[in-house]
Amino acid sequence: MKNKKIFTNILVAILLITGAACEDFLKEMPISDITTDSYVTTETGYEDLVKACYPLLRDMIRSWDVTLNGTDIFTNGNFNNPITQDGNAFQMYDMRLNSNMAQLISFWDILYRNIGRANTAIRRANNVTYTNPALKAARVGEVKFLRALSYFYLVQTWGDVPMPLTETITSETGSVRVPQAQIYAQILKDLTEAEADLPVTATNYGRVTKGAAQFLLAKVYLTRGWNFQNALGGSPADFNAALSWADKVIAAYPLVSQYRNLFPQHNKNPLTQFTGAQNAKNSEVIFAIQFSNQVILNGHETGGEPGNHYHSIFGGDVGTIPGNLGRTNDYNRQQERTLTAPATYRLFDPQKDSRYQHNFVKALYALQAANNVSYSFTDPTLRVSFARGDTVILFRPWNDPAPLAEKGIDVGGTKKYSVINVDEYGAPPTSRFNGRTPLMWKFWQPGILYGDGWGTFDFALFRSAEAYLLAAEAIVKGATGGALGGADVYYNRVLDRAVGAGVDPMCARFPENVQSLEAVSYRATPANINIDLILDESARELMGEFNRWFDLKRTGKLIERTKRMNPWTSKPQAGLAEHHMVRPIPQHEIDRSQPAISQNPNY
Amino acid sequence: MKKKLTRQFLMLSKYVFLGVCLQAIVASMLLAADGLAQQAKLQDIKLSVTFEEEKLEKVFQKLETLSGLNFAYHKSQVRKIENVSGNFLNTSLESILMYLSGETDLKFKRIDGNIFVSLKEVLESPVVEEVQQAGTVTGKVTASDSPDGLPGVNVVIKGTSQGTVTDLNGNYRLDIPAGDVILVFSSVGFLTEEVRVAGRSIINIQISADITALEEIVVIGYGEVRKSDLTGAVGSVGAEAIVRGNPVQAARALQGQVSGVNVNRINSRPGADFTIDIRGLQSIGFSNEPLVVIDGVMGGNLNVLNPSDIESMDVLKDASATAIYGARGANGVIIVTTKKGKEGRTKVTYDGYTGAKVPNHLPDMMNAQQFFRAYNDVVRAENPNANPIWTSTELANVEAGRSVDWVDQITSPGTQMNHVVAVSGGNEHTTLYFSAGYLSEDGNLPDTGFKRYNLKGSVDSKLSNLVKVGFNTIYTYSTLNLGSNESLRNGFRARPTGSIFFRDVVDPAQSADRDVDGYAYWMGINDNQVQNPILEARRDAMQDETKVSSFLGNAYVELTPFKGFSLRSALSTSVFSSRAGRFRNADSKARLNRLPDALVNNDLNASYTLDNIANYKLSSNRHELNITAVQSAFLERFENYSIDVDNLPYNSGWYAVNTAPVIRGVSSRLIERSILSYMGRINYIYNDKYLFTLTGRYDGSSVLAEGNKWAFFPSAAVAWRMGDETFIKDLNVFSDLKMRLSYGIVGNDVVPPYSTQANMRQTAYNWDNAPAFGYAPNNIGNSLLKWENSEEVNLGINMGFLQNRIMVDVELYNKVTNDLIQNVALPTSFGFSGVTANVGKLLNRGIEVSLNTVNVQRNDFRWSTNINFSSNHNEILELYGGTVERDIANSLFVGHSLRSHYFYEFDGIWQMDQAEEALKFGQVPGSVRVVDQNGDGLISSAIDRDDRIILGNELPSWIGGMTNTFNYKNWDLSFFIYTRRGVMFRNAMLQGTFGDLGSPRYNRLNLNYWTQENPTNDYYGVWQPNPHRQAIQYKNADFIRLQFITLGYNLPVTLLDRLKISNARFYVQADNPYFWVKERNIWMDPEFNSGTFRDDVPFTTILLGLSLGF
Repeated sequence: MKNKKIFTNILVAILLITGAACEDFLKEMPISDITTDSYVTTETGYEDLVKACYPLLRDMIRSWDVTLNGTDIFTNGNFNNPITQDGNAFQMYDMRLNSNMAQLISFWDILYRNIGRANTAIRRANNVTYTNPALKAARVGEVKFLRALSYFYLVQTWGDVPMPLTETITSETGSVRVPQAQIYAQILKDLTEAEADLPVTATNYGRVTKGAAQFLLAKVYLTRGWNFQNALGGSPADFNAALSWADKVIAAYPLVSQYRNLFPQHNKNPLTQFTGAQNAKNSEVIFAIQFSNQVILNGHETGGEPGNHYHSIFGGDVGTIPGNLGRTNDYNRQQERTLTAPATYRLFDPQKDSRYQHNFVKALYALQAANNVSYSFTDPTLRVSFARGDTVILFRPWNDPAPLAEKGIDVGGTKKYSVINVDEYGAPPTSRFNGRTPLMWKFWQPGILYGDGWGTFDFALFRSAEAYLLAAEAIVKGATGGALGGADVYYNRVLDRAVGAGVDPMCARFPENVQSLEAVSYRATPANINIDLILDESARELMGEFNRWFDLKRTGKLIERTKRMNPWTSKPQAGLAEHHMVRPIPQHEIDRSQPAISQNPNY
Repeated sequence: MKKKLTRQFLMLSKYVFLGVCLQAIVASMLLAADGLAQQAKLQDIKLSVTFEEEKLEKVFQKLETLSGLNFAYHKSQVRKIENVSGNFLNTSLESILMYLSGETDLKFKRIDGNIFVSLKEVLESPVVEEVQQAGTVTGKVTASDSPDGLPGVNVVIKGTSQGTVTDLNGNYRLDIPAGDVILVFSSVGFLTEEVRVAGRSIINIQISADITALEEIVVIGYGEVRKSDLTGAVGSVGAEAIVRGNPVQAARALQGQVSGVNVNRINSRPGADFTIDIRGLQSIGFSNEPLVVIDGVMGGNLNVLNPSDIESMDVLKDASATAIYGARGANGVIIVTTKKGKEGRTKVTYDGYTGAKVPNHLPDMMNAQQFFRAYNDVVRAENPNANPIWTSTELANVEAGRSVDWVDQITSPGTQMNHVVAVSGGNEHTTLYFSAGYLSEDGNLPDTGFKRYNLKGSVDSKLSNLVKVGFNTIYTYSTLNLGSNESLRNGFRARPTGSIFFRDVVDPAQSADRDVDGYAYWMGINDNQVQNPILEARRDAMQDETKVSSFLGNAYVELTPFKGFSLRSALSTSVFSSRAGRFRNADSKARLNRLPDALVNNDLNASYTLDNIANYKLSSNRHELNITAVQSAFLERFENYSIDVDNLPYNSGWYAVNTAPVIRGVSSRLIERSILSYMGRINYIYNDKYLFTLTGRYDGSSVLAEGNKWAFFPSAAVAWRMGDETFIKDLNVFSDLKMRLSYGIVGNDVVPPYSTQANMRQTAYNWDNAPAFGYAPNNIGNSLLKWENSEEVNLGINMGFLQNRIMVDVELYNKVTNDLIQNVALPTSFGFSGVTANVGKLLNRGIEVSLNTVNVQRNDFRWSTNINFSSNHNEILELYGGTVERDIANSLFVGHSLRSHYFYEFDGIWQMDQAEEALKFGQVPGSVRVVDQNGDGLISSAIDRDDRIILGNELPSWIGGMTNTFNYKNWDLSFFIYTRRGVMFRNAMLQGTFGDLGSPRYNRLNLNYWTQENPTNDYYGVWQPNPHRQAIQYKNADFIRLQFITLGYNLPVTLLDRLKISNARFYVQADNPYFWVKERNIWMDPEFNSGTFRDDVPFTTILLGLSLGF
């Protein structure tokens, strides 16, 4: 009888469990995951979607290879080393610069991923109601600006590109290349709408503002005005539009008094390094990509060390000089992703231009005592000692090269440290501490964790100094009615801040000829102002600010200036040619599109 | 009637005697009992007995009871015969048997105390009697793995038909003639033994189980059948084969042992996992792992088991066999049955081994002098005076002929050991089994290793005739220490020109070197990518430790309310928790002067399966019906918690993450999935010759889209035991012949949960240092996602020859997978890189052959061979609904296999005399030449002039395994050879820094590289620019491996008796002593494709083992 009872109980239990297992058992009810459909229905949800349209900007500016390398001012090392045949593919413009270049692929992917987010936000705006309708309009304005910004980089880099404008909700393979003129029209439409709805001051610092839209309008109109290959749908009227938008920005965003205040504060001698707080906010910043001192807020979606990488991507290497502490954060790990071309130093007046002073590290110091260092590759008996703080390497300015007597004993001179002139850059070392180039420390931030990135200082993508140069360029191209006057006036406003009003700075007349000491003034006059002078000034003012390749392409100067000044691109085996004005469409985009989309010519 | 019987009786010939005798030897069921009537003649045994429409088995039982004689017969033969009736009063047994023979077409032969029953040939005498008497031998027959007596063993005097069978306790008694007599002991399921009597009167003997036996029981999911009753394609390995190679992980026991199963190790680290795929790949980008069912727990992990605890692994391969697991069986099913208690005396066994793991089979790297020469070949070519990379230390080492083998410096032999104690026993009501195991496998890198502790217990108890209950639990705790994932790569990368110790560095300033416990941190090399590998490999540089705690439990209650019907309800649970911690201190390569960091990750996976199984068995004369109905519910919860911190103030492992000022990441997640199923299976056997199986399963899965959650998966199979047909028997060729044909559909829901929804991911940003977390669309939700299904036809043939001394099983299958679930890459301009969708059609077609032969079977020598061969053809039939032929981005090509390699074809090296032609392609002599497939004078990947082709693929064209086993007296020797052919890998060693001859930074493979003086086509020059060098990296990875060779010795019975031990075997084994691969110098191990990162060195293991039974 006892068995029968057990039997009954078990049977009841089975029936209970089985009965409960109906359709509900198979319904997916995620707890740790949310969906777009369920979440983006309220003001909070929409706010969160808009916030998600910003972080990829950080990933975007890590595509510095695409926008800095292969230009007139940035190159790679070893260009005077007879045994090194190849530079970086971006400098060489050779067959390696092809549709499988990882850097080009990731730039493309990041821009389109952000467009996808913006498209989602624009499409779903109708589904949400804000208590303050103006705030909602501003949010839509922000994402329209971000979409326009992405398309602007895409169309400049690749020419005709696909242009999806709505949220992707099903599997799509029918990607089609849209003519550039159509893309420019769309960019201007988005920006014009955004400009109307965006506030002058955003609810949070770091968001897109009316000024940002105006700045980008100026730049897009200017670019369309140049009408690359007559394919952008541009006209001379675009230059007038560019000038008028630039004037609006200039009026609203006054320049700061000191160039160095725009960037992280630092001291060139690690032994007396600046340790105070950093401040990236100033009147000149129109739109800055935000970075944080909290690592958890400072990441990149596409991986890698978090933070602003710009403080550590510029050459040169100090890890092996005598007296250094190894891989510490005193000089940081210099990856030499990009190296300043010798001609670039020669664009500055080393004595008068505060930008030269801020940007370059002219002396390297022993951070610890180094005794009996053998400096010769061949003669082990030749030795020197350094006390802590002693100069180990000194870089002489281009207009004051050291004669042999003032050079180091490593090359037959008298100084116990190494003294290096600009014409020696890029040559193989002949001792243990020559063969080096100065560090480019424009963005360098002290006290950052050792590593590739980790920078916490905001990256100013747009600042008003550039607006002055855009205005000057528009006037040179025929625009009229500038609020400040002629092109030279706009130009000199930027220069004055760097060298002081009335000062006449001198740069090399032939920057590419490293032996020549001939100098010429770079103050503008109505007579001498031209595109090259403006490009020289933007090299000095904006070097490394994610714009160089686009500036050269826009002005049609990419081939001429890069071949002249970039020591790798000028080599006979380098292949920079007309077809490089657009980059190769990523192979995966071609392969995945059904039917396949076309490649740019000659790739 | 009587006259006819008498005539047949008289016509009996000697020839027929022998035939009868042989039939008796292979009898499937033998019963034996002592009786008073042993010596009396049949005609003198008078009985009174009545049968009323009774089964013959019953009849024989009655006669046995009354006469004391044993009846020996094939159950299967006897069952087919119709019931008999009869009424005898004080009738002689001879007459009764005559009567039965007339009724049934059976014949009877009496030998001493036994009556052998078999089918009557025409004109045969129905009853024969033979009684001879001389000397007497007695003894006991036991199985080699048990001290208990074996009943029903035939004991026959060789060369005669005289013999007996053992009784219930395994005892026998046999009268023998004088002279040289050999006894033959045989029993189905055991190897036949021959023993010379040599004057002895007591002969005790052990006989060993024959794993190739025909009557093997095969587990088929929610039930089991005799192998001979199988209708589907099922491969099995038994306990003995599983432990034969002493695998650390049970998966390896399947490698090359079951045809159609492709098992590959993933690396050489201790405790390494294996990948398993059955009958080719079914899925692109998702798991191809078969479903593992451990004692009814679905979705188990083979790695948590101690191989010694496994009774059998049954691999269900075709759709008919896997259909019972419908939803989850698409990739095949491995059913693991662990050991259970057996009725009888309590047995204690110990199995253990200990041995050494010795690094072996390493790729060939440059030594200091070769490295120096290779670098200087570059420099001298362009600039004879320059020599900037070498430090004084390196120059001194090169000149003095010194070279450091860093890999050798950081590796050393490790130990591997295993100890298992098991207790098994029980009575007719309750049986139990307990075991405890410990396994330890060292890595060859310092302080790395895998340790596993197992506890297993199971009890089955019959509470009454109505209720049976049982439970089975397996608890496993393991610790895996892997050290730094950089250790080995550092060892390979470090230049051989450096110095180990700081005191040997000529000028530390040149390399900014420092002294760390006597070691030179930078080895006197002026480069800071690789620090001294010895320091990286030390335990305090980096720790990577995973602790796993796993519980598998299964409890059931089975009710048998009436005969033939059972109702079983089983609840199975698997709780798997794992904690992975990683700590890197300031000296590790990853940190280099930064403060330590730590990462700790906790996974908790709990799954529950509830099965309600009803089973009804019905058998009548010629019909056997077995109906199974199952209702099953499965629920899985996966929880994850992890934290990743930076800049720990002191070396605290991952145990003080709260002290870290920087938190890099914190996350937790919950993932749930569920499956609900209803299934049924009908097995029907007609006349023991025709077998039918029908299976249907109706499955619902949570991970698929609404409206597509449910699907029905049917299958059917027939088998025909042709060997039992007279016309086949008459051929005298086959001792067994069976054909099987099956068709079925199985489903697959491989996608991760929540794939049908457009999920969002959190993003992090800041407004002026204030957090600005957002949510971004993360994937395209596919609301159309449905079941992937595979249709499979399987044709199987089982053949036995020469009394099954040769057994061949052949399977042919054709499997088409429709609505393939795949991550489809999309043009990234749509904002997403891909979507999970049902696209395409895939074919797997193949042949599997397994061959078991007993090559030699003599008195005390036996040689048997087992060969497995499988070949699978994998082909994409359709992509994206037929719109696309080539999807280059995903490397998918209609008409070709999955995992194809699509690249330029290597065509040698440009030579000096081809300089002019090379220049047309923008190339120089010494660089890699690839084939200009379209001859347009341009090497291009552009769509209209693509020179890339399909070079090969990573799926084997065939795999084969061969095991040879030799037994000589008490000795046994076995070895296993495994081969895998037709696999092409992009070689990871060449792809990584070791094939990159142009870089002076790291040591490289010692390759035969091109120079002007050495115009080889083997490898490109050290210096030349090589845009197509990737083409040289695609390499064939065919290999043949001697997987293990084992020599064992069983202590003789006489000694065992004295020691009170029932069995004892000592053995020595070499594991992976040798393998062959083309281009040996570029592979770590061709089985997988390692580039030294996250790996250990390949090794050979030498083991000494002992098995004891008490």
